[in-house]
Amino acid sequence: MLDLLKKENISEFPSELARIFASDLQIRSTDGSILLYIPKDKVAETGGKGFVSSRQIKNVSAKLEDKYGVLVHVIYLKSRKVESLESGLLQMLNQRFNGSVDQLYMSVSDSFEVNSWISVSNLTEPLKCEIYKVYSHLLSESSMKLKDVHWNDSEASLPSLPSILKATKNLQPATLQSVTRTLMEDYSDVSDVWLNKQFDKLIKKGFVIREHSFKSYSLTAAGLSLIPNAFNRNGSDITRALALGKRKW
Amino acid sequence: MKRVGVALENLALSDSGVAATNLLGRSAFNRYYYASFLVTREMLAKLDPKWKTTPHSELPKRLRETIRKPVKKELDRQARSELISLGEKSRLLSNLQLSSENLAELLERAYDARVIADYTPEEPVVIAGKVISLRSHKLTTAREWPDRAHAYCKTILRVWEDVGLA
Repeated sequence: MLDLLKKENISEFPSELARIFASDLQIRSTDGSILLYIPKDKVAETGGKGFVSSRQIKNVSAKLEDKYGVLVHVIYLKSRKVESLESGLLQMLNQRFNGSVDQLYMSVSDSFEVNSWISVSNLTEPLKCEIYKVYSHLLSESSMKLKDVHWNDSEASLPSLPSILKATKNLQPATLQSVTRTLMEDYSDVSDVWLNKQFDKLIKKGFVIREHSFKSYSLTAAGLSLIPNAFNRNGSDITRALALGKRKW
Repeated sequence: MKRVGVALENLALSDSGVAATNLLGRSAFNRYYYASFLVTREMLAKLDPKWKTTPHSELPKRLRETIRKPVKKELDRQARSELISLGEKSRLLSNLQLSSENLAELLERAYDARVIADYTPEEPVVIAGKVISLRSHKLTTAREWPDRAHAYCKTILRVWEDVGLA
């Protein structure tokens, strides 16, 4: 049986811990650790003027850990204001877009910049642009700035240059068509024309060479050195070996 | 798992008496936590198969530290050699940091609710209208945990893919 610390033994609560806006303190019954509850909308990059920084919270937690000899966990309470905004904006967008917006989650910084995760049924590029425009306008009416939207239902339509290098390493010496086919399994908008342009960029940067006689692409030593090679099934040496195993010579 | 949580929540809200509402509501908190935990663990297994067995208590640290380190290292290398631009590097890092921090905080809140629900039976749920609460946690908010976790996981996985790590 654990000999648990008691809430009333923590002399810093509530007065001293009010400086870091701890709204509650509890002792976790399973391991005796101290739980500090802090509203997320009181946390900013720098402390002062009604805010506390993550560094200040860390320092206070470390002091409590030293003094009481138990772990301190901080539970950030989600802002009720942001929760209400999320549900209000979701309703407004659905009113405008005939109920096609399934989910909307927001993360609001202390400078009122908003990052969002949005999920839409049957999302198309024009619909995405239209929703972005309306959503950005609605936020600006509330003195907030839309920083970025992560579209949950849409798959990435085009791969990054590192992803192209990785796919080329797996297949090299690789034809344009074979790399296009492989990338299209995960990225629907890839085409030979688009990929050819990306290869031109990679050749110019010195990461890929084009062998004209075989119409194939291979990585240079510089290109190879830039591909991450984790020691697991995602590692590029492993995926290359598996791709070679599948290849019909 | 989320479906079980929703079913338990609906049962708790049906006219089943105070004691049953308390038990069913607590179990719903538990299921919503586990649904979010499993979504996160599945994503971690895609990044590195050995992270599939990450224990509950280590998840926040894994999200805030372990999964960020290799991405930062690769992005530094890729930007230094001009494979990607500095803007792209900063965008990817910021996406990863934001999603992993939001996910870590969500799991910490959800784990807290789950521990209260399972180990503090002397603290009953409170019902106000159609909303069941346990201390500062509302069941209506808990219902969104798995979908929110899924949204954050998707962004994290995409960053790893864009870097060439997954």
